[in-house]
Amino acid sequence: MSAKETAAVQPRKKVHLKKYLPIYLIALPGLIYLFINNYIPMAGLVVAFKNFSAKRGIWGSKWAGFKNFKYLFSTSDAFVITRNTLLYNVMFIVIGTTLAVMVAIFLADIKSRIRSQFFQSIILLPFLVSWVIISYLVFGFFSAETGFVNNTIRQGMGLAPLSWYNEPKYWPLIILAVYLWHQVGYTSIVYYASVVGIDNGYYEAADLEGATHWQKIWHITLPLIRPTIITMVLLAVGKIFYSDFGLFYQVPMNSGALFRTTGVIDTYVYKGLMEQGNIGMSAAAGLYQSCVGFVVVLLANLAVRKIDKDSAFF
Amino acid sequence: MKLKKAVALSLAAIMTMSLGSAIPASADEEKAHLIMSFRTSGAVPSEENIKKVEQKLDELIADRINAEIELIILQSSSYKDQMTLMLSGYEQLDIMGAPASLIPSAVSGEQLRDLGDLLDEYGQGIREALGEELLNCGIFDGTQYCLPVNCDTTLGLGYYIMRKDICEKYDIDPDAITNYEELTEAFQKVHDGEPEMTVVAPGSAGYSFMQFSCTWDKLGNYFGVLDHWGQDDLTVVDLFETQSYRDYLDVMRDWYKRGFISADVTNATDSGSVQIKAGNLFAMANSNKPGMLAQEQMNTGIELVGAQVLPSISWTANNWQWCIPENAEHPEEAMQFLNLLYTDPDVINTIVYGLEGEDYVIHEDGRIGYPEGVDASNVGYSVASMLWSFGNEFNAYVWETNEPDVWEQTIAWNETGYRSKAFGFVFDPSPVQNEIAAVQNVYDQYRMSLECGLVDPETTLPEMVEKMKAAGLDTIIEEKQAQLDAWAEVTGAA
Repeated sequence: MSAKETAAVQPRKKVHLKKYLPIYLIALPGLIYLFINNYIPMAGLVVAFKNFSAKRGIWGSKWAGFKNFKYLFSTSDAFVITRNTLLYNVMFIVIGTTLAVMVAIFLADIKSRIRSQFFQSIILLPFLVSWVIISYLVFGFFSAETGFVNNTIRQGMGLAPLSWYNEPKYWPLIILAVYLWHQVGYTSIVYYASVVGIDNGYYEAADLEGATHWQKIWHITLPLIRPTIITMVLLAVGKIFYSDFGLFYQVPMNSGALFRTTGVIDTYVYKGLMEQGNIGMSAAAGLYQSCVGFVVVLLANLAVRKIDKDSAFF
Repeated sequence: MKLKKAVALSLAAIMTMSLGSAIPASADEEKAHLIMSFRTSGAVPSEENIKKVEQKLDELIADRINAEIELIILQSSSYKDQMTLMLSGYEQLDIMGAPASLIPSAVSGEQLRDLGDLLDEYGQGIREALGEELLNCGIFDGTQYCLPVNCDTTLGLGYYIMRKDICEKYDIDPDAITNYEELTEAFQKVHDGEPEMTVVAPGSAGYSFMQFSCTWDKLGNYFGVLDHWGQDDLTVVDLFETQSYRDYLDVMRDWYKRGFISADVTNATDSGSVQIKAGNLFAMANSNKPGMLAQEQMNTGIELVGAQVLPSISWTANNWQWCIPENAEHPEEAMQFLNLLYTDPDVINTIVYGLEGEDYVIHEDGRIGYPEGVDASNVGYSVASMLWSFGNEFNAYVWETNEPDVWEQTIAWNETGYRSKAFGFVFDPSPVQNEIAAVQNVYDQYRMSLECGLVDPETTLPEMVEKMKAAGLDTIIEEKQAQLDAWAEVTGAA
């Protein structure tokens, strides 16, 4: 009996392999890339625990224990940058996802192909603009002497001009607005694809039942794209300790006065590396980001599993 | 089986062939290939023009060093970052010009070679050109890692370069201006007459006016200084709590309130000369030295005058040094070449001014200028704005906009002004690296807005001082004091 079974299973295994071989082959370059680019360099993480010296090389450098990590936590800066990084990302995830889903649903509702493609392109366009250029667009708005806001809006309302690049309190809003303008078009493409992929039969059935537009969105569209949303949010949560360097470095024009509200881990590490050239410290900060990010993903996944087992990653 | 044999055979054949072709190639490359990097504040010459200069240099040194030179010339704005990255990797670099701000991190990262023995063996000319005292400014952490440059060592502080036409229009006599009050008065006249114009801006983007407004010796960085131009004694004090610093801030606050300084000054990306050239700036802060006005006139193409409101100082701010990095493959040849750079006029003239006849011509009085039809905008090769950084500028030709005796003037100039008691002392920041990173972060939050007068020092300064103390400023000052005491003991300074 058992012999028969194995005999039956083995050819099937072979068939499986044969059937999927081309797919494995397609994946191979990607896997090799991943291995070379993401796994081999992990050995370099050892630098985070070393007093790196160019003369002695990575392996020859002396051990430093956790000294490199002390730099991150030795001042109140650590709190400020960690808080900023986390809060900005939470804000981006919540507001960014909501807006992107909204945009995707709106786009899918446009029946004319030409108009739909036109709007898609328009919304996507900012994503293709380099941060350096964006920083000057923003500067055009907020320059103290020649900016649009000071010279047109505030003057029109009879208000005194403001030195925007020295007023940290306005920057969370400015950063958020710039981020949304830049990013929403891109994220919404993914959602748009899954909204468009929904079987039209659902909507036709709902129409027959006399459902309103809003009801269709709430009861059909959203539940059906929920797995996509969860996947995207999980991916974003995994990067919650990372931040878009261009957004936080270029857009505030590296203005020191804004550090309290625009400084994030990445810009802090960059400045540390560029001013001090200390590779150990930068590696330590990178390792810290990855470890915490990894834990956060595990926790988020755990939470998702509690709520909706099918949508969890693992 | 047959197939395998065939593959093995063809592999063997390929290997032999490549081996065969490799042998003559290596025979050709007997010469040491030296890679040298430095920066320019003007346009970076094109690849092909650099090639020409490299060839000329190879010819010049051919009978003395068995080497060929490759030049890496970078924009000064990105030079330091590029070098930080090059040193961090394993790219070959045999001779590196290093701005002062790069050296401490390179020393503590053990990215530079000890030049002591090389200097003894190949660098006799450098020793003579610099003199013992100047050479000592290249000693970091007790080791000769760097070679300073012989140029103007005295810094004319509080020097303001102004447009001549506007000075004449408002009847301002720059020579009569000797202090901040008189300068403020002059600025006020210009501001009243030309309300659309920015009156004054810092010389370099990203820096405040303080770069050249010191009334102290900053001892490398600003964290722990000697007050009063280092004339009192060797007691390191906290700059940010001194009256000197507060006085400077008050002047800036006054200027800002009067509307002399642009509200966008903290975001400026253009240097003072660029803004003057563009026509919307009257004056910029800079340092003074013989030939400074000529240099800025060359940069802006506008007639300029200058007024100095603070005394000059000589301190250990050797802004540029030459190093041989760990990544060097031919350190001996590198030192031999540096020796020629410091001693052979042909070498420095070629590397700075390019090719005679093509990039410059020699006038009858010995000065040089552009050939017919060539000017700053279309010259093939010139890094003349950085002449001072090439080891020993006194060996080089004098540019036609300078007076013929500018080098004698400079030597005389170096004798003027205060000489800090800590002249020759170089601070090694590596023991307090964490503190410096933290304090620098605090400083960066306030630096530009405070030192350009945008915020009120009365409330902001105490806030900054408090945060700096929390970040470990006192530890840095203690360390600096300890190093300075040790240095004084060795050198006998008091």
